[in-house]
Amino acid sequence: MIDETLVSMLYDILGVSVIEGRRLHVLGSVAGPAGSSTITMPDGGVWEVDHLDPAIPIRLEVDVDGADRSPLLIAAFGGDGALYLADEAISAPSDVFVGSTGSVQVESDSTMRRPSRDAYLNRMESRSRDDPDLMAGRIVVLNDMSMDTRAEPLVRIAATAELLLKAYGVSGGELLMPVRTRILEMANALVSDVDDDEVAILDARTATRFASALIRVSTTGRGSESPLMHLGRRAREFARRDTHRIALVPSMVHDPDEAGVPMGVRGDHPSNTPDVDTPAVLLPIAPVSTESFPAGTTEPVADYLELHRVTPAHLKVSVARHDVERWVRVIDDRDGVPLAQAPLGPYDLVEVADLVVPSDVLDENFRVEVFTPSDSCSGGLRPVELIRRAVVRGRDAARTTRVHGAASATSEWVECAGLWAAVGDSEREQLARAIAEGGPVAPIQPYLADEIADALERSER
Amino acid sequence: MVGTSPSHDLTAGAIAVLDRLTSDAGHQHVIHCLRSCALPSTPALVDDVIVEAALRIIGDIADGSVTPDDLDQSMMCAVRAVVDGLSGPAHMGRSTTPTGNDERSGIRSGDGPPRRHPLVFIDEATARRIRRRVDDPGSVPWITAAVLAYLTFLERPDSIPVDAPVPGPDVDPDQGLVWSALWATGQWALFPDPCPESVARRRARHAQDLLDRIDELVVRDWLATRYGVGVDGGRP
Repeated sequence: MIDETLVSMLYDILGVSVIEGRRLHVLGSVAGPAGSSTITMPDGGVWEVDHLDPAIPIRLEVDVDGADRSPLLIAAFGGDGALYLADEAISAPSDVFVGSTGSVQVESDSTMRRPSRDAYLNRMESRSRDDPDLMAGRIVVLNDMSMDTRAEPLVRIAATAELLLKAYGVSGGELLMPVRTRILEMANALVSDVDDDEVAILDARTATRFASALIRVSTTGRGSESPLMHLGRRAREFARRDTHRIALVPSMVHDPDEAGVPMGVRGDHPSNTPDVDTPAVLLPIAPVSTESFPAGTTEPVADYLELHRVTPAHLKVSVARHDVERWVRVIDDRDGVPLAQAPLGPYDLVEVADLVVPSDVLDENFRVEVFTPSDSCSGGLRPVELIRRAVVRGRDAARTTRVHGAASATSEWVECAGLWAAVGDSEREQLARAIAEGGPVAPIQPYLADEIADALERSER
Repeated sequence: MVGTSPSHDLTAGAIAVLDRLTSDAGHQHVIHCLRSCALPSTPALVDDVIVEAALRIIGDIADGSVTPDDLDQSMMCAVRAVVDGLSGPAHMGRSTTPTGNDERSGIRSGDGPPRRHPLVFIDEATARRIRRRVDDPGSVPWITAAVLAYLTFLERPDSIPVDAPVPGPDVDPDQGLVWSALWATGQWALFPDPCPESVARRRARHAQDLLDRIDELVVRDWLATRYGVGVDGGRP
């Protein structure tokens, strides 16, 4: 009998428990088209939820030794529930995997789950903003965001602050308190990567919320002089600085006197400088082949190519200037093996690339090709990369959905569906397509980190 | 012969890992894990998981967290972690453990990525085959450029530009090859003088990306040449 603790009610659809290796897995649904979010607890326990709808549990995982005493399982199911699940898993029929050194693995076919499109969408449709399981799952997603190295440091910092603030009031959140200081240290370390112009991009409402979150979390944590506290104060100053420049909607801001002004986006790129002191060696233009570049396209070098062997290992290539990003590759003409590759950079009326080649390669033994990289085509990608892109696109679509509504995320969901289709995963493809076509989406409030990421992205357009 | 210091040679351990992962039982476990996450168990995806699981375990052997006695258990966990990571955040390049050091993102310290060498010794023939494979699907131009430069410097140290930045005396000399490869392929912005901590972190991330890619290419090469895995997009 499972206890009626708060979170046990939230996880009433979790039922299957299996043992893999030395880990006990309590399994719920499978992740939808935006993948899952995970948090690993201080004791190694894993809590995984659906990223798009964090109220949908995917998995709880703990060490099988002492599983009945796991704080995570006890928080989710109560003491009796944890005991029940541990016993159930141990007594379940299983297959034994035999490794080269003997029996090491217990598996069960009960892990063979499939996503159910209707069940998934129905669960999202029935969700209310105040669902306690939604609130609990949100801290898992926030942890995810705080650790996402794809994201800007500002976004990760916001997610960390919101994670710590939210964790106070949510069942399961108390398990993070022992590592609160370490989580704060990670966020403090990120502050040095934040520039003022990024903070200045935020509108007054977002900047004020951001400042407030940082100051609150710093006050209750490391003291008043932490980097997070300084960043919070800077954000507050930026919000106040330009009050007269933006008309604010009063109901949307905490402080109607605060506003932000977008600033330019940084970007520096060192330019190539041809060495004018050494005479150039002009070589015939090699025929161009496309077979070597599955992720991009090669193109004929229009009418100008100059090769200059500055030193035995330093080759400088100049070509006619084009508007698109292009790269140069040096190929061993004897067996087609790539020797070097470098981007072309503008220099006056030409583009130049500096390449390092093996110093013993003779001029007559290599050829040069120019190509345009393209990461937009998914046809040649490995399956794991397709899945990762599908999940990333799904997460982006989920963020747009949270901030601007599902209608604004249609193209992202369609793209996500296309990537799942390319993997051969028709279930997730259909789920993404159903959302793109106006299907139900859980009413997830945007996270502070969502709004900051959205502001930074808009500033780059 | 080319390669990094033989003291970093993990060839024997890597082969033991690949033996297990490519066995029928290992193959079945990969399929089982994929199905448990409702992912299609196509031959190409199975091979990808084997490669990534192998890299994980070999990395664990390198840092001493896995011993030969743990290989079977480690294989089970690694395959599970790779598959779970496909639909989760683990692929984003960092630990999901809030208690951890976020090592792969370089947060721990600026110039201190967890390791500074390819995981296995690279001989001349392997280096040549790796060059052929740099255009694997999913390759990133700047990483490909850096891989080619790295291999060139391994084979011909006299090709290293004289003005390439050199790590300080407290850094493993082998890190110098990684720095040279990054610098020689246009990543000059990673080497300002003086170098702020934030740039050092970014440099550490780039160095890690480069080494990860080299390791991946080596393991894919071994799987193809020794086990026939990954040839023509699937198992033979």
